[in-house]
Amino acid sequence: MQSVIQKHPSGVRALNLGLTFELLWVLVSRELRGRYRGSYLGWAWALVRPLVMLAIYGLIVGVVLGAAKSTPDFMIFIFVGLISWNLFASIINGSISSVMAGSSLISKASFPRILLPIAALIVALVDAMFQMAVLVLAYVIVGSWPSLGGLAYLIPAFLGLVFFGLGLGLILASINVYIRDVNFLTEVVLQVGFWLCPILYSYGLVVRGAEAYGWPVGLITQVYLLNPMASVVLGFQKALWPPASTPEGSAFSFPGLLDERLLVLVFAGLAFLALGVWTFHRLSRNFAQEL
Amino acid sequence: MEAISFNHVNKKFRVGHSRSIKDSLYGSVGKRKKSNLLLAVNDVTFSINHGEAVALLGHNGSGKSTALKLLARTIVPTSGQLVTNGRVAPLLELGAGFHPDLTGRENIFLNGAILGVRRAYIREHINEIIDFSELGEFIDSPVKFYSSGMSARLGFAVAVHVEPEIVLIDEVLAVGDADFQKRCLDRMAILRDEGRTLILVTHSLPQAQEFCTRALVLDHGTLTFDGPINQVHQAYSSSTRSHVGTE
Repeated sequence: MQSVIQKHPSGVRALNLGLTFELLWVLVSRELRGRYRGSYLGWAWALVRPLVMLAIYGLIVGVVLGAAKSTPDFMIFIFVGLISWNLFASIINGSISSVMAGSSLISKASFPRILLPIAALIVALVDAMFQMAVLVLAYVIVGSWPSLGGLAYLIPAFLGLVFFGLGLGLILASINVYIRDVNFLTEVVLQVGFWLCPILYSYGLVVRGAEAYGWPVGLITQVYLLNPMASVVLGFQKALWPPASTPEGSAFSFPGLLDERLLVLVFAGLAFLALGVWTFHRLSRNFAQEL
Repeated sequence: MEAISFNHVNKKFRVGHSRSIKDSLYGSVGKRKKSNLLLAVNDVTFSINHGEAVALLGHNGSGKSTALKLLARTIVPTSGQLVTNGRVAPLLELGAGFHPDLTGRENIFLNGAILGVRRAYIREHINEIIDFSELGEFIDSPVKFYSSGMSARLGFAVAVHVEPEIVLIDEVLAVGDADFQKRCLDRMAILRDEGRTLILVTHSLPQAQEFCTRALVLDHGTLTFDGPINQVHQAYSSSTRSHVGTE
């Protein structure tokens, strides 16, 4: 039996929710304002890394390996995949590092610890917004735009990504306080996960590859799609890669039942997020003595 | 009404436990049940009324810092009940949570939010805070260029302006020059005279006597004395002897 009771004079409790949001806002703006301060290019750096990645992959996979010839709007195709994967990876990494970096705060002040990973999530979303702006610029340059019908896929794909990513981030961040291996393990798993998603190759390649080797296509694709991020990436491509809605784009074939898969993903993601919040809440009570 | 009550509070720590999977795997194979439990706070019961100024005394490792962390609610008790009534502002290590790349002014808002006050309130009192910190034009420079005394001054300035009901003070007066220390002490006296509850953690008895009317002495996690501060001298020094004796 242990309990901590905290009472406030009347009136203070009513302000608590507002205060929590203000603290969240302060944590987010601390991160955003502090990050590029003192650098000349400032916020442009938020775009340099993803654009360099895009250029390297575009050159190697697209030109050297020749994937660009068979994929319409190849650069946009991989950029869409990279944006969704980067968002996922930065939610996970941001959650873990926010708790580690916040150790001085955690050991000295009492506040809802979950605000740290939530602030990291918001920072990751801001970064993704910048990349989306570049994507829009790319549409202008290429001259093709995604169809309105396809854009509807963005909603479940995005929600699935955020729920699943934050849920996983919360679990990993809280375990990492007790077992520091989690941080390193995550790095490796994310690297593997990147190649398990149809980012630099299309989903159709998985199907054709399985056929070429004479493997059971149904089984292979079912296993492949067990990875929730594979469905998320497909949802993003369906929404944001303009050729997805054209006959030549559908030759790349998205898996059947993508709509249903994404819908399941949203609800499964929500359940996973609940598990993450519960785990974090349980483990965060003694963060101050472990960090 | 009671501001704080500890009811048979215990806090155990595992000491020197491993932080990697490898260690815990190896550890569990060989010596399985070798528990290194440290009872940092051992069945402590006391209550403090609103408006009291209490000194929490004890030597290094006596559990007074743990008790203070329990009060600040950064850690939770292993067992027992702990009640705090009113907003608690810990003045533990000033300037915790400052972001080095942000200016002093921006950090005032950051620290205020962490201590639990609304932005609007800080905005209203920002000039008082800056005046108290005596940072002048440096308030708009990044905190990373501050000396440790300067950031301590800023931290203290924010902490004393957030109007907490319960103030926890942990050896903060070790920083800053003599003049600033005096102003901190003056300010603490004002807080006390305004009827706020003050908990001062220290191992300096003279400093405690200047401020507090009541003392709690902790020794190896156990509460060994609870009474008027002018009677503490004997209890405190005898706890010193027993402390030395056990080592």
